Amino acid sequence: MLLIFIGYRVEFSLGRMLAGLPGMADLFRRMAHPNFSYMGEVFEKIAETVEIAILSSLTGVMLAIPVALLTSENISPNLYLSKILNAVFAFFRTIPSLIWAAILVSIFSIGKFPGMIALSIIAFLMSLKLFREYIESINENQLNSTRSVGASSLEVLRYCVLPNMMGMAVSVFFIVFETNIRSATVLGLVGAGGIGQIMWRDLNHLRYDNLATIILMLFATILLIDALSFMVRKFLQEYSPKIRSLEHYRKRKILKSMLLPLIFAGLVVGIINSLNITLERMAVGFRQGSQIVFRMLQVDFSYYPRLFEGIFESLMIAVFATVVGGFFAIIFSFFAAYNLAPGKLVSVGMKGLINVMRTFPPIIMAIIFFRGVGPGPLAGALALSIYTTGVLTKMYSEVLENMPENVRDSVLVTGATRLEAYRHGIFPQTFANFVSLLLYRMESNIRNSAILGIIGAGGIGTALTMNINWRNWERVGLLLLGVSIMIILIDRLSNYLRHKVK
Amino acid sequence: MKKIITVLLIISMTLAFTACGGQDEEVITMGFVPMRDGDTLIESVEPLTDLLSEELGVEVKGFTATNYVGVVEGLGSGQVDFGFIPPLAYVLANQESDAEVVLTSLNRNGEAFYRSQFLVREDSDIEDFQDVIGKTVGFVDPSSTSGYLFPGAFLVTEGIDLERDIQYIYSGGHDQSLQLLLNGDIDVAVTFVDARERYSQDFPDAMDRTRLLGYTDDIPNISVTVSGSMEEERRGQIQEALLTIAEREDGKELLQELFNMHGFVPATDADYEVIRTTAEIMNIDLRAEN
Repeated sequence: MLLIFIGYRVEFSLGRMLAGLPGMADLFRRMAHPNFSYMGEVFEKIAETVEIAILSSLTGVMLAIPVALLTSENISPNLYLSKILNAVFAFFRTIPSLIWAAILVSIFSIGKFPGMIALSIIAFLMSLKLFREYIESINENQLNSTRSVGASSLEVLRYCVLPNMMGMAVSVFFIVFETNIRSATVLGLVGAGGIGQIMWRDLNHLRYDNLATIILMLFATILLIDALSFMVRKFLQEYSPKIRSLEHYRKRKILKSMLLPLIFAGLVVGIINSLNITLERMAVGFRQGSQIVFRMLQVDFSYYPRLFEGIFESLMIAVFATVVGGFFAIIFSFFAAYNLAPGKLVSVGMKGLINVMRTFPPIIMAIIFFRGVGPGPLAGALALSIYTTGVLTKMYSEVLENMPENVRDSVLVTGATRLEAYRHGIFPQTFANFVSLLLYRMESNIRNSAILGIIGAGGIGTALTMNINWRNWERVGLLLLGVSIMIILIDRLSNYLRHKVK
Repeated sequence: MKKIITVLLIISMTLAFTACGGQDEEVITMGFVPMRDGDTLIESVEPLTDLLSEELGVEVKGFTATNYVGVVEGLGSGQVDFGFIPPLAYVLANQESDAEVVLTSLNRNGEAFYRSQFLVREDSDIEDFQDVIGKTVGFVDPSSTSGYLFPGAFLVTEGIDLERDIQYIYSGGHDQSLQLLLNGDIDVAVTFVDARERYSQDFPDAMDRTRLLGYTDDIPNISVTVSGSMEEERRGQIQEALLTIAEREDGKELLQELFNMHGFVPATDADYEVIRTTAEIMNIDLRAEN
């Protein structure tokens, strides 16, 4: 009750802020007339982005699988190795994509290739984390029972861990793929091509009609990916081959063993295709890239006042967005999950709404709020809140949908309404999952808030982009260090909270 | 568990309320979008807003952004009262919402305009602009006045068709254009005039390895633009205050050292007409339906 009461207050004050401001509506109005003649160009760029995203997601996921085996504490050959690797990758994960792109562009020049490498790195780090968490959650009993029959650690891997992971790999691929498409819009900032390039051009020319076209098509793309992911997962789940003869079985076995190398070969061809530079050029690039890294290591500590100011603001924006997003996600998830919603139509409508919320680029949302509430952190925080609500609702409602029916039914049978079943049975039951998702969003919101700084919506982003533009790498180094430390601290905290909640 | 959420909610609520508060007394909001081709890294506008508050007798709050879109939209809705924005941003703001330029800043030569340059490698066979045909040109990005709009239009008036006669890429920054030129990825780079000097730490041999091909036409300097919803009297006050600050001994020094602005001159929309005509040459449709 208290929760809802406080929520009301927040919503109320937000509502007041939004209501009195027709400026925002004006911008929406201008976006309400998509320029359909522009669709051809957008389509071309989206295709380019999708191609880059597929290649880099595949690369990232495939690289992550072996590394995940090394870094998972329960099966790693060496505990220290896994600890060290984890620390290194945790640090890398905190580096905003803009920095990756800045370094990579200097190594590989402009174009598809640096964008692809940057996305591969992001995909790798993301899937690594997901895989590791998954492997570490494998029941110790299961591992031990395989071990107890005398399996060597390689055999444990082959018969116990890997089969579990293959199914997981597909869903990780789709998560990473979608993230990559979104990240591509940011990479357009540094000349990495794709949909991001035209999005920034149209934004900078205030062509909201064109922007609306881009967003619409982006929305359609993400819907398609969603549908595809759903279909593939369903297919894999229900797929049980009928084997008619030994001959047939052998053939299948050969086909199956060829599948992975085929994907791999396709990947190599794809990468070589987009690689358009000579070895000599690469050497020059590596020299310049290493110079950037070297200068970043000579951290300029005298710059700390700006760092603290920016980090504090980023943190506030992220906390605000996560809390508001979390609050709405709890409510929206009830209506979005098809096993809870009052009706199928409500669920479909809600799913549509949250898809819009998470597809709408936060930076454009922030500009809209700029018109409404003025410049500063609040505009950024509100924009990120909307995005967080969308993403979190999607993830949490999936958790709700995947939970066993009997939990819900056992509460319903007492005569409770669906809402009461949610409130008293299902929500407490899945609270740990929810907190875990929430904390994960928190971490990603801090990274996201770095981008909002570009348009003046507060946070560390303004200082970061300015110093990148000015090639003040020593200061970039300090900012990066600060962001990393903060994200790692939050990570620690969230681990602690997660265990506590469980 | 519930406590955690409650605490977080309370934090967010206080955040929301503090953000709401303070709307009663009058505050003037100033946006500052430094030109990427300026000479000084401008991160804090506080010294300037302090002086302005003193001159105007009203609190002035400032913020900086690296991209102008937010400020232009803020000027349009009246959430931002006035701003230092690049020339192209002014033209966009004016067309969108009757925002109006009141001042232009002066550079160290006392001029209200600047130029950008075309660079080629020292050993390049490009001697004049006709030789650019068939080569690869590196622009900065499509929103850059000095890195795309003016140099692009210059090439067009030289009789070069950008889509057919040359290849071009957007590098994402003046520094990156210079780097790509040095690395041989592009044949012609467009940068602001002092790029080679400013990035000498990164590219110490840039001076020796590149040579100047030519300059673009004059580009108006950064503008001081006021929101269309500001009353006439206030516009005059802001214009007056900035001019006074530029005259004051302490103000002059501050502007030069922190912002690389050597005074202001009153400006009108006509001074920025050249941006519109240039945009037209470049086929940038600034007058999209609103």
